[in-house]
Amino acid sequence: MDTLTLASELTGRPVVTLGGDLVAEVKDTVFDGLAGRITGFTLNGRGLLAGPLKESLPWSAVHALGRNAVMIPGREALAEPAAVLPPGKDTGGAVVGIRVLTDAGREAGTVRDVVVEPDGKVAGFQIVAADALDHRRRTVFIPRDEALAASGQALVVSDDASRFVAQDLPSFTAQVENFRARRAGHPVGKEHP
Amino acid sequence: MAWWGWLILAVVVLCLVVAALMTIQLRRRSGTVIAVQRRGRRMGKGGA
Repeated sequence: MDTLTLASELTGRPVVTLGGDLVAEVKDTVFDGLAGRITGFTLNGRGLLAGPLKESLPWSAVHALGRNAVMIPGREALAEPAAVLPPGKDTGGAVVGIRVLTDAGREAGTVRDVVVEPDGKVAGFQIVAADALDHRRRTVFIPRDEALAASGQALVVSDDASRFVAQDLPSFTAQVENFRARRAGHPVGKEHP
Repeated sequence: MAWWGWLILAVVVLCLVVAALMTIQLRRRSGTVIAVQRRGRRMGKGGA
């Protein structure tokens, strides 16, 4: 698996065309809670004084999600906001701060951030652990289960996934692979106690 | 009040106005992570 990134770190990342033009900066990262994939970004204009743009960037138009910039083929890749956020009041909600429950009904904590792969897939979540998961209530990373999504006001993760938590992103990469191998029915490496 | 008193007051007021405007602008530009579902149903806070 390639390098994982926190979605919050994408905010402010410049959007650059393959021709070298800096056209915008990332504002919000939008992902599909069911599919577990980034669907696109809302955008800010360039510079501190610029406000949010009326255009958005669908994930399908992203050429590459790099460490220092989001590359797009050209300015024509930008689309109307509805391409990323469905219109209407109930289009989407911020996930930071919502409760995390396991499919066994255990409180796992609250969402702090979302961990994404370079291909736009959501690998897991950074959460502030609840007592049941970590009595020291540390910030940990927990893998996303392909089969689970979200209820109304909470994120649901697999109870099994709570045994694959990691303290940092580098070790989380291995835990995600272990978790996926377990879900696929293959032998796994070390589980977190 | 002496003229320099008014000057200091004006500078302080100007700084407060600039700070307020910068706060508003930073909030406008701040980003978050938004979850949507395929059918457009809300997933996050206050969702249906």
